[in-house]
Amino acid sequence: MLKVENICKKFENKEVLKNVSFELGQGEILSIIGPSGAGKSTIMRSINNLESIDSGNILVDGEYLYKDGEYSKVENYSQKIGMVFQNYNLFPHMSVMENIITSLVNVYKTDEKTASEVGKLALEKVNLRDKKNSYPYQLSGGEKQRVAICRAYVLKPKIICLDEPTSALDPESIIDIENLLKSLKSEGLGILIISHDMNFAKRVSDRILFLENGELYSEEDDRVKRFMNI
Amino acid sequence: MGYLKDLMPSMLSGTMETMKIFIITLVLSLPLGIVLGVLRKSKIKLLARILEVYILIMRGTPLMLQIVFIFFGLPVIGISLDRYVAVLIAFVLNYTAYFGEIFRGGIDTIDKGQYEAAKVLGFNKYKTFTKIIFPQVFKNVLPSLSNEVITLVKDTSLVYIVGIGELLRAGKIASNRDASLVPLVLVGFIYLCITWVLTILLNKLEEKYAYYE
Repeated sequence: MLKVENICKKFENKEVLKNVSFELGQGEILSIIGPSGAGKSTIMRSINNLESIDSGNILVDGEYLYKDGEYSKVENYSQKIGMVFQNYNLFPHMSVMENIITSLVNVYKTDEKTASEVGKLALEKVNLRDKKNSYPYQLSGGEKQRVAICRAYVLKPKIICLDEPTSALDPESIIDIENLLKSLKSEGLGILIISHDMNFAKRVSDRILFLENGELYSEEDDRVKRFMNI
Repeated sequence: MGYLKDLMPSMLSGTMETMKIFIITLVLSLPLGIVLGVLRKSKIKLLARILEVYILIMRGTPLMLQIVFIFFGLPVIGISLDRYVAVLIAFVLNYTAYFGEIFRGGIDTIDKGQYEAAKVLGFNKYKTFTKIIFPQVFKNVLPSLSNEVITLVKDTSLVYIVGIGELLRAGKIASNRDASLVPLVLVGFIYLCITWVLTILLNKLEEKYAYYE
């Protein structure tokens, strides 16, 4: 479903991604771990078209987002791939329900009644039905995280990317997120996680890749084994 | 009481003129200010530079001078305007610059993450601005806008310079004619009432937007 082929990216003279390649399949959870500054977020931002790449290909569901480093527009991209930001980036002026359905209503022209039904089901899935009229400032970190996941989920993407999903969560909320991700996986979603939380990645992922100095290594690599045993 | 009653027709007519200039200026310069605020962030360097100079001139010179220039100065180069039109042009140009800077500042306060979240949800630039960014900007700039709106009410008194019969002019004529300060006290009271009502309305608007943090 997601294919990243030989992507390279430079910021000024610093190479942040060096021929990075990987694939993510249906119903798979893949974590990319590594130290700060390794280029993890740049990968995720490139996949979500928030950052351009210098060379390489990014394909989602057979369609090129980047071909040989050139951007090519993919229609309804947010219905193919969703993103959950590290600090959630919920819209503060919208209620939880409005946050969740705003794209359905304003971008995909779903009528408000149908969108609300979809939103209600999504909120039930993440146990936040009673929070539908709350505003982001009234939510805990874990609740904001779940709303952000719902906001991506209601668009029925094939893949959801999560940037450092546990960085601001308490242990209980981390368990909630783990269970939620496993449930999304069981529905066939591909999930890409960028994290430096080794234990979380080990518990939740089918595969783990290690990124260091812009280069990606598989679990079999010795340095990954060393990192994972820390 | 009898004297106040005699003053009322000219005072009311002056108040109507004042309100007319106030409302027309507000209705035109607020949306233009939004456009200016957005264009100030333009990546077209020349455009951003031109707008910067326009704002510098409008904020850096007295409004009265701008009125005088447009009404008395433009005829020198063959552009003669009706005094009412001249005054409105000066007010709209001046207040658009102030409102534009307020909106630009408001746009600057919005976190980059809000734009990115809108982008990954499929919003185009127009919808990102109208649905996500502007509602937040408006809440943030409301206190500064309120200040400018109140200032605008009082600035309308400057139009006496080109002989428009607004409230202060009506008061001055009556004061000179009757050798009395009462008309000017009445003018002050009317201005106070207008700004008082506006303050209540603007506070209500701020309360309306206080539903989130």
